[in-house]
Amino acid sequence: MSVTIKASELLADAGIVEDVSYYRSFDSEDEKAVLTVPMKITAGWARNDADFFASIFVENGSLLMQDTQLTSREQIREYMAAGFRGGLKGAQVSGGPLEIKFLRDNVAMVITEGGIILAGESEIAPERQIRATWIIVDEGDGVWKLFSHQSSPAPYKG
Amino acid sequence: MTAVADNQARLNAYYGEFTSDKEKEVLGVPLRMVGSWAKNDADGVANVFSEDGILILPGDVLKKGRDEIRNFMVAAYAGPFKNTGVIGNPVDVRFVTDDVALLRTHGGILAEGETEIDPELAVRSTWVCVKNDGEWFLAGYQNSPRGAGATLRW
Repeated sequence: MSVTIKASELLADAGIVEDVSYYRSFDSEDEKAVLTVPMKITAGWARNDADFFASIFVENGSLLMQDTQLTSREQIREYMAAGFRGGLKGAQVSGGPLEIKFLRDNVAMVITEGGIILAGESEIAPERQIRATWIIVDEGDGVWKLFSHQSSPAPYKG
Repeated sequence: MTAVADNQARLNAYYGEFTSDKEKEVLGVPLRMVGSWAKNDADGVANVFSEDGILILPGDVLKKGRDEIRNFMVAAYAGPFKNTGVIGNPVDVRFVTDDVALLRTHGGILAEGETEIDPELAVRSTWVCVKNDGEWFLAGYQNSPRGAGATLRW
């Protein structure tokens, strides 16, 4: 049996204040619950917290970072921990949803735009602007998790 | 080697380590793309996608649904993609559910007359595949540059 948890509760459980502007036009309860994943990821960056960041993924979650394909939560945690100690120290991400498709009741594909804002920068530099495909799944406990994220260079329109 | 055996050897090389029936079935999706692209067949490419499938390419390409994808490909085959091909090999196959799968391939666009991809055109692709009424379709396709083109993005 599946469980439904509201977006506001999913965010509160992660210590995140719900920013309803993030949802743009995707404001049904189902869509909002799915979008808690990119909102949590955004918080993970803001906190520079690799453990929290990795916990948003499923166990065999995958993430393409530059030219490195990461294929497990542990690889993601290690990569981000090194990043937040090094070149990504103080980096954040910004962005928002462009499209949400429920492929199945428990599987959503989300397209976002956005990018990395490095420490000392105030907006996403043109060369770091992206569109990304997110596969987001509910494994049955109502807590949506990230199965896969890949981005491509693309203009950010906001 | 006979043509049939040759073709089977090529298929086996393509499947690589992904040899289960289930994996081979979903790996038919990139093969259909390659086949349609080889003919510069915009309808064929569009029909690899589900009705509301999404195509994302680096730059400013975000096409939603078969009609937008078909129109984009018609223009591309009349211009920059004319007489090009595509190739790609799977590096990861994972099932989200029995009827939703995520493929990653390494490949890219082949310029006319070429048999290998120019390093500048090499891409990593994500194929989000869904099985509808017994047939696999592309719900989403996206690629991004490999190598030097893979800049600081997340």
